[in-house]
Amino acid sequence: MRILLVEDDPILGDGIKSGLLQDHYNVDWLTDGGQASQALQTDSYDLLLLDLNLPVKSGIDILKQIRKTGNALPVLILTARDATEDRIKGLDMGADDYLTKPFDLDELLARIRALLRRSKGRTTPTLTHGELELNPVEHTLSMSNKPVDLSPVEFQLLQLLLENRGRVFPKKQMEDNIYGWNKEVDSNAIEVHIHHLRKKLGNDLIRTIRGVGYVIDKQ
Amino acid sequence: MIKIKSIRNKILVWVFLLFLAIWGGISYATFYQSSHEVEELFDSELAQAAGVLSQFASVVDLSHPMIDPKLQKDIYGHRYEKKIAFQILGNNTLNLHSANAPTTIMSNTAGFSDQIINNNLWRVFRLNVKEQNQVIITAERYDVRNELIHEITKNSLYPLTLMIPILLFIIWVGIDRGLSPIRKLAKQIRQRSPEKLEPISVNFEIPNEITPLFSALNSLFGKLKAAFERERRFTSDASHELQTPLASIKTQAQVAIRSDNKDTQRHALEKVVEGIDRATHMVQQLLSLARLEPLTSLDETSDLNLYSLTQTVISELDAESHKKNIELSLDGEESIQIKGNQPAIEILISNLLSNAIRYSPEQGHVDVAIKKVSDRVQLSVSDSGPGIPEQDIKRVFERFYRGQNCQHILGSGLGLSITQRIAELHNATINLSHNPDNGLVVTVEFVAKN
Repeated sequence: MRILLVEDDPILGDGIKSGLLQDHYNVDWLTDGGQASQALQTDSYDLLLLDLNLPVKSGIDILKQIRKTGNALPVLILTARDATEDRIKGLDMGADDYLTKPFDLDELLARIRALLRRSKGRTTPTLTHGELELNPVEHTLSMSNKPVDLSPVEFQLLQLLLENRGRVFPKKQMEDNIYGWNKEVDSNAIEVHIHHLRKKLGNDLIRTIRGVGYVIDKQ
Repeated sequence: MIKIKSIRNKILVWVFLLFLAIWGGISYATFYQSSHEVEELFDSELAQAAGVLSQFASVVDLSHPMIDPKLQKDIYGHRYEKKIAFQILGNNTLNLHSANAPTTIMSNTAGFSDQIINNNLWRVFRLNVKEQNQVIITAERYDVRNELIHEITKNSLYPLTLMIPILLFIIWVGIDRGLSPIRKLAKQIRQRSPEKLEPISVNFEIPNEITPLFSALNSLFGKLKAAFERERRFTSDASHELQTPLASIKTQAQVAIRSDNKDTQRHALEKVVEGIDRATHMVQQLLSLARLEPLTSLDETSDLNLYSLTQTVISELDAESHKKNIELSLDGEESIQIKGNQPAIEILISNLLSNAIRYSPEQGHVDVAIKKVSDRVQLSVSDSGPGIPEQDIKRVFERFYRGQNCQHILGSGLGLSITQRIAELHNATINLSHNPDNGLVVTVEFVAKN
């Protein structure tokens, strides 16, 4: 899951990013509205964590920009102002949820999970596919009710494919989604992880489309 | 002396006193005039009566009384008439007299005179008819006359006396109506509260007398509204500026709790400490501003040596500048003195210097210069930072305002607000400019101590 965090406060941004990394999200952190607006145009994200009070371009303006292009990206706004009008304005401009600073990190993460779940059209927290059951909250996977051990990257890859069943993912897009543009990635990293997943879960689950990417078919 | 608080009652009392004076004057004049006229009238009647009597006496034999005194009562025709008395004398003997006249001769002087007869004061007229040796005396008691005079005076004053309460009532109503704009204005003012301070607008014409009050109030409301607005914005900004460090501390602390990794924990805890430092700095700056803001003047001022004060501040900030390898220099006249409040001037210098250190890059330099220009003393701090962009320069003194290009540098956004406040209290001016290296130069100009 790739999340864009826009927060101008250095310590808070660093803290939220660390918290998100602990839950194995892939986080891009930007500190001003101008950069954020640029990134939203060039990259695809699963969720936007947006501070309203930003330099260069305000959070409200970024929201307007996203919604004007018909982008349904889940947006959670963070605001230090407890003024209700700010929150109402944010929600009216198309934000899906809000949190007032100072907030609880666990609550922030729970809200992010709920927003992601909803955006993928699910109401239950777990993803099931045949004998497979993936729990994004507890980061657990079970096959035929027996736990399967996965590395964080393997888990994210599987979750990404399960949430987008029937859709073919190009390798590049998967890299972006898992690693973001912060890290150097080996050119065959995705292939290696897919290989490990196939070893653990069987060869039939993930299908390779040559020259394009990977897909988990709908049942 | 009784204090009357109501304008209406004050006017009423004065009008009443005025009426009383007029009423007294008119009463006196009426009394005086009518008594004079009545005297004249009655005197002429006495004389006329004497003339009639003398005609009568000349044709009648008066050796015997001709009118039965008892009958006299019945022919009285007027209530004022009964006390008019007469005596007719022939050869110094009383031939005829009215029933109310005494048997002694009432007067020995010809013409008008006042006589006391039987303890009553009489007005007497004596007519001597010499060829017949006859004397006619007519007389009247004064109390009759006085009664009449009183009656006339009383009757003429009645309407006036009755008018007083009516007039006072009309004036009372008039004043009441005249004061109604004040009441309406008061009602409008009552509706004002700190949340609702718009200017008063009225749908009636404002009397000239209260127009100054009206416009003064409206201008006061305007100022109050602006002040409240400023305070509201300050509180909201302050809460934002305090909530953000708190949020960052909490988040970092929770990251540390959730992590098993020593490095992650250490990193998070270092950020916690950094966040607390920032919150502390913010609170200190807020306190300084809160102490300085309400002051209108400085209570404790003394002669300060600007040079040695700057030296002290520089030595306090040495650690900070050393960390970034920034070279601090001080240049100027050592004897320059200004008049000011020592702690405040120290905060001013310290704010300017720590700004310069914070915004200057590693290996940079900060130069402080103190010099006297005619009757002014200039303290200038020049840094090797990025300067302030044109669009920010006007706003840097606003509370909590932070430039767009320095969000990553620790700061409260209050330093320059505090500095400006201190300068204002010292009648000093602050000027921002750039040096050839694009660094910022802040110049504070004080009045020199003679």
